[in-house]
Amino acid sequence: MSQSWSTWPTACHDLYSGSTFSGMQSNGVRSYAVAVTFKYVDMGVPEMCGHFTIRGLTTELPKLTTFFDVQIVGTGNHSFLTKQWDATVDTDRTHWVTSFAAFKPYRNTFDLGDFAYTMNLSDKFIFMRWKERFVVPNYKLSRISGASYDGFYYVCYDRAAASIIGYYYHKDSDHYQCLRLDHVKQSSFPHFEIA
Amino acid sequence: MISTQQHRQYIQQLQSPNPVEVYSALRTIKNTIIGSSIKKTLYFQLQIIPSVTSLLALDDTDVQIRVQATAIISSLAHKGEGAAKQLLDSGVLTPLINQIAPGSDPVLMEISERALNALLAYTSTKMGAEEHTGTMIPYLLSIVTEGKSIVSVYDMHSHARVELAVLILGKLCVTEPRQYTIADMGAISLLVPLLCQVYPRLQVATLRTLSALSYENSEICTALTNTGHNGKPFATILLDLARSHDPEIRLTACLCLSNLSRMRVTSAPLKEVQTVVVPALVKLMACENLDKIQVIRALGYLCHEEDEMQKAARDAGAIVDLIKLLADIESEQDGDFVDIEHNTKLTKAILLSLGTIVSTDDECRRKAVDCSILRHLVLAMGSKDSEIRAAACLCARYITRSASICRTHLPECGILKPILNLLSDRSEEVQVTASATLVNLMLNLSPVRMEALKEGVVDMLVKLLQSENVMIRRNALWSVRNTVTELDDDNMLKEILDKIKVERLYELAIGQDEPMTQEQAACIFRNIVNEGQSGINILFDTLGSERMISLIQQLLTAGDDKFILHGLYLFNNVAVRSPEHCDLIARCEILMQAVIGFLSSSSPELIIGAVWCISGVASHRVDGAGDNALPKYIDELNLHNVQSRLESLAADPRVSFEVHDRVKSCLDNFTTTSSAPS
Repeated sequence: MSQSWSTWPTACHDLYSGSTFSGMQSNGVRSYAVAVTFKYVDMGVPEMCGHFTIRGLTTELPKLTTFFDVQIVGTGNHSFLTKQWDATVDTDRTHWVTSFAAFKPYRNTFDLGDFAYTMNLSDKFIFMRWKERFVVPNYKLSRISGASYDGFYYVCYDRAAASIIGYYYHKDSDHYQCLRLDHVKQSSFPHFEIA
Repeated sequence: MISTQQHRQYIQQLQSPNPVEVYSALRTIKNTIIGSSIKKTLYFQLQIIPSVTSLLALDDTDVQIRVQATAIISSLAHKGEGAAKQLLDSGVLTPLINQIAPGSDPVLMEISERALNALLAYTSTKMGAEEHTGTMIPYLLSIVTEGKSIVSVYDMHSHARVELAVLILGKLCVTEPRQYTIADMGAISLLVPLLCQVYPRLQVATLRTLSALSYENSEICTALTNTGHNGKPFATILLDLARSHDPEIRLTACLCLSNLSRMRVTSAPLKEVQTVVVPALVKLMACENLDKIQVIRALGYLCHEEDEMQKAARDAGAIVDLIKLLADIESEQDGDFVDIEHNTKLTKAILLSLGTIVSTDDECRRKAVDCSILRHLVLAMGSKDSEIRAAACLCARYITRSASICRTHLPECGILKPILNLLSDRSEEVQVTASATLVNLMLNLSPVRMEALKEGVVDMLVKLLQSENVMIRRNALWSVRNTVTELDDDNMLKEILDKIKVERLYELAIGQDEPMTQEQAACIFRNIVNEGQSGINILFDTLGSERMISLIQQLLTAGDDKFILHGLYLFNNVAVRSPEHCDLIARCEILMQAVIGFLSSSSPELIIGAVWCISGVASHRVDGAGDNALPKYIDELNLHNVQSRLESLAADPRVSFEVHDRVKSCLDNFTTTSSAPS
């Protein structure tokens, strides 16, 4: 039962454990304040998860926080094709192509069988999918009147701009709910590790 | 019923000058002890070992007498490790090895091999046979060589001799030098063709030996993959055998393939190991005729730190099946005919394998939690067996690596209290694994952190810090490190530090212990100052500025990047969080020189750390001048040419994008404002 000498988790620029992004989510009619805090990031595994807080979405829960985890496109088995959560190739194409200028180089090839995309930590853009899993702290709360987290976000992190753009997708929800977040600057840093 | 007196007479009869009487006594003794543990004990007490050993040691002992005496040794060796060890110590190995020399009587040879096989069934005897391997290995290989000519024609005794020789070779492979000795004597080219014989027992024996020969030995694994038989590569032969109808052949072939996979031999069929071996092992767990423990251990070994294998195991249903096995063992716990020893070993194997499978992948962890693993772990933590308690903690440690599980199922599964109890377990191994699990429970994303604090975890950690076991001390400090991270409660921070003692942390951080504890202590300082002014005040008030500066300086001059990084961020966090204390460190020439020195480091992480420190210092303004206040330390920094060094870095195409971005942001402090008067 050996325990290895700890290996520090790998961060990627503004994507690190404890990093916070804030901004708005808008469906074209109304906008809501959003704050996202990455609770744990290890790009070496890779593993990312965090809390997603939206304000004013429902009267029942004026501040709604969900726990989400992340699929990083180009790591493990995660390609641009979602293949789950009711997303089709067309859904993927529509979202990646129309939402993210950075996706342009891949728009004609991303769904081809032999297309291989590998994420590098030095990439200017990192494509992700964020999937909300449960409400925090009450994870057993499955239905919230006026809100749903059954879908997922197509997300692109722009390293140079320290910003995140995301689009929510769920087959029954308003399409193109846009999420725009900027990194909240931080200048002092703790360090923690999972054993 | 034969009386003890009669048995004693048989022993005495072994000293008779008449070979017929000796033979008769041996035959009777042999028939008496076979299958009877009580009779074996009796004959041990009657000092049978010296009598039989001396018979074998004489050059002129008749072959028939030798056969009977050797059969007795074989039977006695089956009694257990203690008996086998006693036989070995009596010097029985030398005559037995002589009896398998080329040209020996075939019957005597076979019975001697059986005796050797029985004697070498235990770790201590395998190790204890060291001085005999030089003679034994060539003899065994010559039996295999001789057997090559007869394996094509079925001959029960010839096959038995080859099978036993192969099995003994496998048993000798307990150390790396022995593996090399056996391989260097030509074992690989002799053994691989035997896999293509259609005699299942011989195939199983050969696979077992090849598995032992190649275990954790990448050179031998590579040599094996470069061989084959009749144009068929070794790995292909193994894959065919892994699909055999015979469960034992399947298992042993899987063991060999696992070795190739674990050693990352380039030509190993890694994909097939995932698609064939992992599902085969999972299915074999349900096979009644096989040793479940061995199958489960093999699965755990294959999945150890192998992400893809873990996922393959999950997909093959391993998590569900293993947890079901756990539940079965729990349900039969109070039965009348339960083999407690076996169930204990099986439970331990299951927990360790499950731990391995869930150690990396969150999906695997979620699957395990969906199958109620937490309930079983809590139960296992209360086991009477310390190895089960330790294995349960290890598995819990891996499960609690999942942030989502920590946030959901953990608070209500009741794992916290058993873990806290096990921190003071009488077994050190349990303390090590329990304290490692606690590290994860004390993360700021864990809802049980507050509950643990209320339960008095800090007092428990203080005790653990006094442990003689460095892993326990390291884990305790690691827990403190996570506890003080983003605590957001000044009173609680003070309370924790009052108990843990800043002085003790200082002693640890300056290297009064092992490096692994030193690193944790250093990081605790970094995290405390990140909590803000109150944490910084506690540290500076307790230790004084001189010692705090000395600590930072020691960390910055350490030989390991991890320590340097903690030193840099300790500096930075003080500089950013407290203008008053920033003044102390920014005006410390030695510290500033050390920090600035890292701008020339070859490590991007260290450069970034240093740039953060410079930003932290450079961002401060002269007090009381409002929004238009001038920068406070730019002149001091520029005495060291910091601005020009940053500009050089910003223009250097060789630096990483991370360094580049960070330097550019830092330069804003120098370029957007005028300097303050000094």
